[in-house]
Amino acid sequence: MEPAKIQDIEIGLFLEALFQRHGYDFRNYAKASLKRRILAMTAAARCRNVAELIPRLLHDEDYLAEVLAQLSVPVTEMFRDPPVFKSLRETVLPRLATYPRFNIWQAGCATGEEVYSLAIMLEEEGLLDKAQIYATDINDNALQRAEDGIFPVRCLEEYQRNYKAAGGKTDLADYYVANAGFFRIHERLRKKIVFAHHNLVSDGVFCEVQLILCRNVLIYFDNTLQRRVLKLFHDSLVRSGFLCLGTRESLRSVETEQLFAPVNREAMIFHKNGENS
Amino acid sequence: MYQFLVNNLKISSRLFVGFGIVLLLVGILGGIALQHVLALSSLMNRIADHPLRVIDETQQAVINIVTIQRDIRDLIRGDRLINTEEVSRNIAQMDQELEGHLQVIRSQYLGPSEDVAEAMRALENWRKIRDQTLALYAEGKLEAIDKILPERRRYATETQNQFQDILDFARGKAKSLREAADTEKDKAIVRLASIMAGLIILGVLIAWLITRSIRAPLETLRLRMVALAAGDLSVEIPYREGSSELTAMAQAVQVFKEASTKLENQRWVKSTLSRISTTLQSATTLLDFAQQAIGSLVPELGGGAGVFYCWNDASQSLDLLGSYGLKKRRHLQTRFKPGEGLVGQAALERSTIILTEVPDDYARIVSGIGEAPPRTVLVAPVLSKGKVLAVIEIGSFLPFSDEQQTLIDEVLPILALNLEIMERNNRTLVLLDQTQQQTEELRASEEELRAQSDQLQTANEELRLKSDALQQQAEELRASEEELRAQREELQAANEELEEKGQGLEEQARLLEEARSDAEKRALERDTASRYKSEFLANMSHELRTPLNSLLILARSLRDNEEGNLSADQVESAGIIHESGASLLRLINDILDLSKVEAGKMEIAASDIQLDNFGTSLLQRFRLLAESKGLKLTVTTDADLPKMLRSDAGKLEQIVNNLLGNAIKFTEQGGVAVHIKRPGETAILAGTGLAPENAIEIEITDTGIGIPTNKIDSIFQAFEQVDGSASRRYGGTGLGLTISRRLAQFLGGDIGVTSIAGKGSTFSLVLPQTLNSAARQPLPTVPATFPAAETPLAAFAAPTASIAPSRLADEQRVADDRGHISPKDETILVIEDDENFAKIVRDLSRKRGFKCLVAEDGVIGLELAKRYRPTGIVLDIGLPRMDGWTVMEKLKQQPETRHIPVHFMSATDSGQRGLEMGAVGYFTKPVSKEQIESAFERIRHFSNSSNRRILLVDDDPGTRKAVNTLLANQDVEIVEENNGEGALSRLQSGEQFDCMILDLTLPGISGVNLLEECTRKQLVLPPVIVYSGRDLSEEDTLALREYTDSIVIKGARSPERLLDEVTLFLHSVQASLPAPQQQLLRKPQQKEEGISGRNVLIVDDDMRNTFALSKVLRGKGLNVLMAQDGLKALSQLEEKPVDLVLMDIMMPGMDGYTAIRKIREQARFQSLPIIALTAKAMVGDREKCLEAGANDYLSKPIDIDDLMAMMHRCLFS
Repeated sequence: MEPAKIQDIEIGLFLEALFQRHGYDFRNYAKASLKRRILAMTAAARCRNVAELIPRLLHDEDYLAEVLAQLSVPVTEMFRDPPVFKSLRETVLPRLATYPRFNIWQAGCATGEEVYSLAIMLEEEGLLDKAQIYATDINDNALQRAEDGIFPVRCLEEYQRNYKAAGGKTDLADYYVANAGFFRIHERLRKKIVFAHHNLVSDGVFCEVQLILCRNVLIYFDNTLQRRVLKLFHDSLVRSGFLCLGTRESLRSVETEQLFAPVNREAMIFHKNGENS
Repeated sequence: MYQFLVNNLKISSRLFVGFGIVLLLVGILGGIALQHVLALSSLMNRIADHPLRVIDETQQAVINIVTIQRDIRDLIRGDRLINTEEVSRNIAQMDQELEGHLQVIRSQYLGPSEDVAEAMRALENWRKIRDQTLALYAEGKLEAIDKILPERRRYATETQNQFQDILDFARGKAKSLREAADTEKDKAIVRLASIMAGLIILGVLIAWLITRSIRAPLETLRLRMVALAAGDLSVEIPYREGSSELTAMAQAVQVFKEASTKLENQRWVKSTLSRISTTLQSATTLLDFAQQAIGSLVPELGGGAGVFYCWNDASQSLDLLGSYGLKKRRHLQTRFKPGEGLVGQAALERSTIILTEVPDDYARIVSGIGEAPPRTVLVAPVLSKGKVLAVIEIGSFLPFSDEQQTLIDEVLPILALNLEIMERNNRTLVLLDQTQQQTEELRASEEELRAQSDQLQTANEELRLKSDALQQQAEELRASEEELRAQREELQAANEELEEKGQGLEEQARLLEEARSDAEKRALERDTASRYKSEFLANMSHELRTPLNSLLILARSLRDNEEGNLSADQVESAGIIHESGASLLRLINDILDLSKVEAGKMEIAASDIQLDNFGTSLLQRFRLLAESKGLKLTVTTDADLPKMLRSDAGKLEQIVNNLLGNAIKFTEQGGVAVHIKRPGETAILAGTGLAPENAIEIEITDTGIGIPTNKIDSIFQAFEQVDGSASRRYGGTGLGLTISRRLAQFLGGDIGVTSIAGKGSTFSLVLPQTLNSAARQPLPTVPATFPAAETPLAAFAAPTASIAPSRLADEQRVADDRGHISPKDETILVIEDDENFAKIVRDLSRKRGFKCLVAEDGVIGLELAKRYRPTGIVLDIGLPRMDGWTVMEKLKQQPETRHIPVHFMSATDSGQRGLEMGAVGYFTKPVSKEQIESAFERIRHFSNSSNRRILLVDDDPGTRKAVNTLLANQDVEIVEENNGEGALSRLQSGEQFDCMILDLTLPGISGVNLLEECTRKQLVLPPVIVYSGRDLSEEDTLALREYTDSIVIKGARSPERLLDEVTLFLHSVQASLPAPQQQLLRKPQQKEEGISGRNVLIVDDDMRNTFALSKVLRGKGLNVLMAQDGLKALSQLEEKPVDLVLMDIMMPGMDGYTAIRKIREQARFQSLPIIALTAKAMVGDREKCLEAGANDYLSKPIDIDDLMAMMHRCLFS
């Protein structure tokens, strides 16, 4: 048997072990990128085969966090894709303003930069008090860092630019406190966000939300999982609620296209379609 | 000599000589002849010259003289006219001629010359005279002329005579000459003849000789040449020596012969080569080739033996490959390296080696007859481009001829070429072989791959199919898994219980078991009987009510006599019919109530009842009745009672009415006293298990006929009256007390009685103050109330089927208007299986201007709805083939029928459900005419899509104007109110609206209050959109959520949203909920025995979920409190008593785990049942919940049955 085939078997076993032992189901993630990351993990652990990770996964309690950290890809920045944030600010936020109170859910928030960007925008539009933001991810490490709200200063310049490009009215500096090479988002913003562990693969609707942001998470899922997640989003949204996906994503299948109607195709903002069956 | 001559003399010379001799001879002859001829000729000439000429001349002279004479004479005479000049001229001329003649004569005269001289003298003389004459004539002296004439004549004649003499002499000479000539001639002839003969002979001889010398060799040569030309190249060519032409010819022929021979040799070489080539080409292998080569070469070369050595690259040597005529010898070398032996040497030098004079002991050429060594050995290398490919060696007895050598030289390159070609071919063949093999292999593997690919494809297909199937199965499995899990949990719990109890109680268990099994059997029987009974009753109710319905309405209409065409008697009869029907109805209702109570199907609607009000109204109601009988009626309420009693007002009223009614009925004189107080320590109270401070007693004392002691128990039995005849006297069905008691028990209390016959009775109704403790099971009644109790099963088997026989679908028994409906008609579709009722509704609808369609079962009804799109539908529930609920569901599912307003009219009492399904109204049969007509109104209102009505309640004119503008295109009628009271009154008056836009801040009652009032008054609210100018707090939002989930805050984008929401509400009678919530509502709400009345705290920030869940739980009789996060939950727990907590995990502020932990920290909440509800479904989440302190855990979306089971378990374990 060729080594490539054996490797696929190993990866399958690894994912199976991960699921059965810890309940995290990565089996429906997109194969190619998952394989890449697993191989990277194998290399980082100085193992020759993927199969050598499995005993560790099964018996070492602490290894899970590391695995999750490696398998989930926390690439994010503040006001990522500024045109999208701008579009949110101009199209979606005014609509949210018509609700007495509204909930926003960022699924896959990683280290929280985007969620804080959202909070900043809400405050600038005067909507922060009416809002309740939920930020979820499966990576506890990332969640912890997000909750802390501390980021390195070297990214500030770019963030500042993004902020302006997204229609920022004042200055990014109004929203953080800097110290010793890091900056921390203000308490008033942080307390509006609930960071929680939520696994899109297995968990269900936990709240009724007016806006869901799920950016560059779906691309890591295969079709089955995507359908499930989009259905979950559909169920979680209120009537005419909004869904914002990553700019490089798309609603792949016909059923999912029936669930959402586009509001702004470039920014990948949709709103919930009609009623379900 | 001759030969020499022949050979060396050229033919031309010979001919020359020959002809020369002949010519010479001829010349000789000719010479001789000539000589004679000359002689003759000279004679002749002589003749001619001399005599003849002389004659001639003489004659001429004479003529001339004569002429002259004549002329003179003429002249003298003058005959002719001639002048003197002319005559002179003539004479002169004649003279000259004469002279000439004389000259000639002189020269030629052979005679004596004196003759001539004399002639001349004579002539002279004459001339003189003549001249004289002439002169004389000229002078004219004719006489002189005459004188001289004779002289002249004489002289003329003398001359003539002289001339004549000459002449004769000449003639004579001529004759003699002639004779000489003849002699000469004879002589010549003889001589010539003889010479000629001799010469002829000589000539012939010479000719013959010469001819022969030419002809013979030529002939020989000719023959040889012919032979040569014929192909015989071996002929010898003679005469090649010498210098004659023949020699030259012979030499030339020789040259040609040699050339021809050479050509022939070349041809031979070439043809041999081509032959050899052809032979070689047929060779396929190297061995074959070598063999063929040597085999064909050697005979061609005339050799006796030959060998072919081929260069072997691998071993770098020349290997013996072919041989001819070789006898195997021990020493025969089969391999030579370059340089070894002659063979190797030839290879090395790359040139042919020819050995001649081969010694005797060389290898021998062997044949069958003998052997001998070859004379010549040839070793020739076969080269190609300087490389030695092979070496051939040929031995021969004879030396090799030139042509053979040529052949060898020519053949070697051909061999080389062929060898090369062969080698190349071989290589090609090898390669071809390889390629073919590879192709084969490729094809094989291609086949394999294709087969594999096919397999894979097939497998893929299969997998896909399987995967689809599996997915489906997985879905189903998951569902059943959940069920099984729940069941398993239950079983587990139950198991554990049993186990614990089983220890040490086995004996008792066994007895109990026996007793229990007995009891169970009986209970089962009872339950079955009861179940069948209630089913039967339910159907009976329908069956009974249905005709009764028709009966009542028709009787009523007859009694009303609208058309005024009935007599008074008939009207009275109709009245009686109506009365009877009404009584029957009352009886049936009682029976049904009773059965409902027994079956536990009563719904309890708890509300707060003000006790003093209650007492007062009671008095009001019965005072007249009492007074009419002359009785005294008092109602007293104790002061120490709380203000409110929380219970089911309706039922309480029913009970008290019944008791009070009975009291009055059975009392002839005296009075009835009603006393509302705290109960004393009585048996009744004990029976209810209530504490006195938690109970209320209503005591009704009368001074009536009383009840004998032995009958006390039986009065509560159904149908029993103290005296069977009492019914006739006092009226009533005899069911009242039974029902009342059941009701009381249902409400958590009981009825007791004490009585003394003849003195009076006291009925006591004890109820719990707050309807929240577990309602007691009604005491089992003996099922002796119904006949044929022993066989309950048989009688009630499959009641539905026996009662509602299927009818033929195409046999429409109620005529309707389906044949003549035009598009602009308003139509009512009546889906009703009761013929009579259907007819009634049909007639009423027609009276109201509708066309009517009638369907007798659900399927037909659905079909007609789809086809005719009626204005409205009147729908029964109990229908054959498809019941009313299903019909409703389907109507709402299909886009074509979704908007058609549906009004339920059914015997079953499920108004709430009907409205929730989206009906515009629900009436329970029997229905009155007014009710039917109001249903039509309602239908009319709701169907008029071009006439939607929106109630806009806002005190700000600006907003009202803006909303009007916004909705201007929507084809709606906007009814405006600027305060809450106005809106309320409109709603109360029954005005229909499709939607209400409500501001919260209103001058009078607030928007929230308005909503609360409407709910309290049980008014049907249209869908409400709260349109508020101010921001709302969380509590406000929560409160409003009770009534609507559509709240729009006025702002920049609010008009859009408002429009969206309005549009949505206008096009659906009920705003739809997402599936999980719908599911919650769909299950028929059944009062849960055992847990109703308990307090449940739902802690969840998901409003939708919370409200849906709370609705369901309330429907089951629970009191529901809500909190949106952990902190609020804790504070709620502080304030109110809670029996069970449903805790969501994911919440802001304080999450579920923390909240649970905090709750458990307090001692008094240690055992508070907490069920965690969470969206998280991962392994480990359950454990986390339990670790935090929850009793159990359910994952969202919540299954209501699971939840109820779990709640049961938590509350009762």
